[in-house]
Amino acid sequence: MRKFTGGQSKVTVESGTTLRDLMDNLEKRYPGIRDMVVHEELVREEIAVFVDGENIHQGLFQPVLENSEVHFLPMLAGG
Amino acid sequence: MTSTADRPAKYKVVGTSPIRPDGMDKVTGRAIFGDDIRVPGVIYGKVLRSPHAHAKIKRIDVSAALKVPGVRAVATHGDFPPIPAAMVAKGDAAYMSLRDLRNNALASDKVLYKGHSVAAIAADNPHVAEEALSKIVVEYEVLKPVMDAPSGLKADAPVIHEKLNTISFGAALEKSHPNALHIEMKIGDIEQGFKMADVIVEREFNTRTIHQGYIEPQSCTVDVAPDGSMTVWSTTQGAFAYRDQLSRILQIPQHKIKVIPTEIGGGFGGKEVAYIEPAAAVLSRKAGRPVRIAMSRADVLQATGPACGSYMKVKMGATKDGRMVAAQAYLAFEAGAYPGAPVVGATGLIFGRYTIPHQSIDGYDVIVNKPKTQPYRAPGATQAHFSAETVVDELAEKIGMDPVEFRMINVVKEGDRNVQGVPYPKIGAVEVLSAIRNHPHYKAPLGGPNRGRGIALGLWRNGGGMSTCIITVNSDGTVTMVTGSPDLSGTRTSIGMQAAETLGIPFEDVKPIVGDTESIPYTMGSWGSSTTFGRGYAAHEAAVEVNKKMAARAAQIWGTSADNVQFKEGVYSHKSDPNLKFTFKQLAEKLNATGGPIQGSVVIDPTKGVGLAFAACIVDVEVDTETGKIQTPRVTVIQDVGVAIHHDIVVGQMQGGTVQALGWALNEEYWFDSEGRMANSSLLDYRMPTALDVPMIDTMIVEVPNPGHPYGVRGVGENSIVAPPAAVANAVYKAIGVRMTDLPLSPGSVLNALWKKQGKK
Amino acid sequence: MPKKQVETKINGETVEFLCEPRQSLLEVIRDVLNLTGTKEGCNDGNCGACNVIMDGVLVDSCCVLGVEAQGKNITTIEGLISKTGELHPVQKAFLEDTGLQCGICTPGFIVSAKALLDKNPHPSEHEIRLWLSGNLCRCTGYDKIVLAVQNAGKKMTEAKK
Repeated sequence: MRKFTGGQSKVTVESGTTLRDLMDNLEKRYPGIRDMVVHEELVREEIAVFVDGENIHQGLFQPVLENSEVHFLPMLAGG
Repeated sequence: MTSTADRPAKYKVVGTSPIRPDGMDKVTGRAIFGDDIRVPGVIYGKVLRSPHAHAKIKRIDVSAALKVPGVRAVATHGDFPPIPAAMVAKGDAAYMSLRDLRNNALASDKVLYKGHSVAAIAADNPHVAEEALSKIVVEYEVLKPVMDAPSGLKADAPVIHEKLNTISFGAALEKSHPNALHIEMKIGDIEQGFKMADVIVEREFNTRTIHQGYIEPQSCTVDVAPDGSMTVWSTTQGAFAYRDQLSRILQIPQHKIKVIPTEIGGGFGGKEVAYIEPAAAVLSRKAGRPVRIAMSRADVLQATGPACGSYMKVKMGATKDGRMVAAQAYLAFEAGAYPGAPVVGATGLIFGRYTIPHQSIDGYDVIVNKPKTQPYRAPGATQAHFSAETVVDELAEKIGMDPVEFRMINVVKEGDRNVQGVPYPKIGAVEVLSAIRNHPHYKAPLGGPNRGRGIALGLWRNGGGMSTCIITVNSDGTVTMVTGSPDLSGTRTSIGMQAAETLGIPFEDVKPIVGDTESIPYTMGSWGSSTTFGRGYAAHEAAVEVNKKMAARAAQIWGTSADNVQFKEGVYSHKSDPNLKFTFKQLAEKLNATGGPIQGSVVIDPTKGVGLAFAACIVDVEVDTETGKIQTPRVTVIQDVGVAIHHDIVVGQMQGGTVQALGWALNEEYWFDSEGRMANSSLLDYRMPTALDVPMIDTMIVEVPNPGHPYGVRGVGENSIVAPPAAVANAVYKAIGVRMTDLPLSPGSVLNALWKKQGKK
Repeated sequence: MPKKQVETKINGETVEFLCEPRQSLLEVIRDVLNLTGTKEGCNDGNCGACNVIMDGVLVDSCCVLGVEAQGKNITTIEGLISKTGELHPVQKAFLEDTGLQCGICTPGFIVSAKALLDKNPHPSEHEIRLWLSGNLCRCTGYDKIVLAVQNAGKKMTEAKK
């Protein structure tokens, strides 16, 4: 995702109220980035999203508060 | 065996060791495993597999095979329906895309490893099917194979995929080479970091392809009806995953595919992908008969999903007062024929046990001509710990510090951030390290020459995932509980125990069953140490729902409102009238006459509550300096399990993973000839530990309850495989003064290292 | 391939079957007689999952031909439970001492341990491990299996007193 943010791994944007708002705001600032996370209006299966340290599963409907920290990580499994 | 458990007396069921309800069938031979399924009219399928590690398929001619008396059908890749482009790249098993799954089940235009499935035959008799395979004519154009990661990364390496699918892990990985995908993780400034270090250690490591070694080979029976709907009995770790894979590969709607997970004889991560079911389904459709395909042991070793070999370079720096300041790693993992090695997970956790301000980790997912790798317990973690935990030990030695104390100074605590910036929740790293320090093994005399003691600390993420549970109250007060993940080693029991605890009834009154894909909503498979945690969470929630409904029913019977009813220790009572109370059993007896049976049904994803966990190994080795053979006279495993639900099963899991890791450390490896073909595809030459190779395994359960789970559970199953190989290598150094950097530490490699040190040879 | 007629005793009962000369005893037990308690793990004598006792000798049934069963006395896992439904002490010990996890190797281990204890009622830990080295388990690490066999031996000795 760094190639969309000019190499930065940490950025600050307006949160809006849900993850969808956040993604829209990210896309305004860094065009192309939304597609890395979202496919056909769903969070991609292979991406895990952490909001304030917790792995969330409401997808784009996940509430995001002001000053929340959001991490995008590869989804991992086990054996 | 000792435990530091400060076990709360409040639990009646959790923490005990009741007899497993499936145990009786398993000790009497009654239990039905995948290959025990007997369906009337069944015929037998066999698979033709590639003799070459890398080749183009120019032509397949099945006409002669079809003429063999008794042969009823033949399947090749062309029998799979076309798949919409949008679906091609999706995968359900997190490590493989649909296109790759399909091509792996029956090769399309190329074979990518020796053993790659090329065609399948079904016949009335398995021996006839086997013989008919030799009548299938396949013309190959043999290509040069790539057999390890460094070779795959060379500029002039043979290109294995014309178009490498980058969808695995989506945005995280980028194509860096025709045969590889790359990921990097960085914090701080690594150059600055090493400048601050007083002591630096840098080493290179190699590990080999190994196999999970489950004793039960994959087997399936597939029965396809004329309308395309089918029943599948399979040795799967995840019935819903297999259903989804089959639905996509065969383009049949999900509700027409019933997958029944049979009792399963081990998986460890190797039974998450449908290897034989797609071909069996095609054969069954064509022959109009149920088809059973069982893999031979050679097929299992050559054509399922082994754990990956790797090449690693690790460099770490610390100050002379013991602070780790810089850590760098280059990890090249062998994905096998298709992308999806566990290198992303490994880059994230290789240094994750310690707070290190400057880190730079590069991971490469490299295509090689071997079967596509799958998890073996904690995927990628054993390899990563083997390199990092031995370098940590070497740093400790150079600084002159005890290995436990050095780790204690740097170990992560709650709130510290990992390399990806995510803060650690409540964890038991300090507790596990303290447990090493305080364990009698740590200070015990070695008891002989050429002996040494080593330790290592292991970190594993564990997992959550979609979890469902249905609990029904029977009219005699017993309970039927349906769970959706197969029971690999006692999870139906540990899940049932959580339900019993919440319901306030004895465990013996609960019958936990593993459902099929028609009896319960979608559930994640039994992997990722998620079963007792996630499906147990769902069972608890379903039991809470049952309690609420039972209380409402009692209220109805007493003519009062539900908030006048309280529930405590299995008894429902009226808050203000002490004469009005029902035990669970008494109330259950009234259900049918007062509105009908009661059921609790829950669908949740408790992933946000996952508690990652730490484990450790203390191992004594004795090295025979004449033969190079390493014995392990004393082994201790320590693990933070959160809270142990079934005490004895937890102990057994810890011991089992440890012995697997000892096999990984000392013995097991795939041998390949110069053409890239596996040369040791039998259990004689792929040598796993026997009872004679290992001692009693001392186990210490540490309990730092996980606040993200109602009973404090952390995953247990995978973690014990992570630390032992590093601990063994650290012990060998103490015994003979040689740093071993390649797994396995086989007798030949130990001797070579010894002689090199002595200036011989 | 024409089949041969074989008469044998399995778990105390006379049994007649037809089999091809190329079929192993394991295949006959599982697919002709449908006694699926005995398992296939490797089919080449390296894992012990197919252990049965033949004329008092512990064998890997994958390495015995079906036709070799002629006139023999064979015990499979199904034959260990008593006619009145009581578990054999080895079965009971595996069940109560958590001597199994997935259970696929368990029939082989139980038959193998019974054969050991019939011969040597008081085996040392080393003797148990040596005898059981022909049975592979991937789940347990062998600890609880060894303890179960020790307990079973003790119980069997006490019962004889």
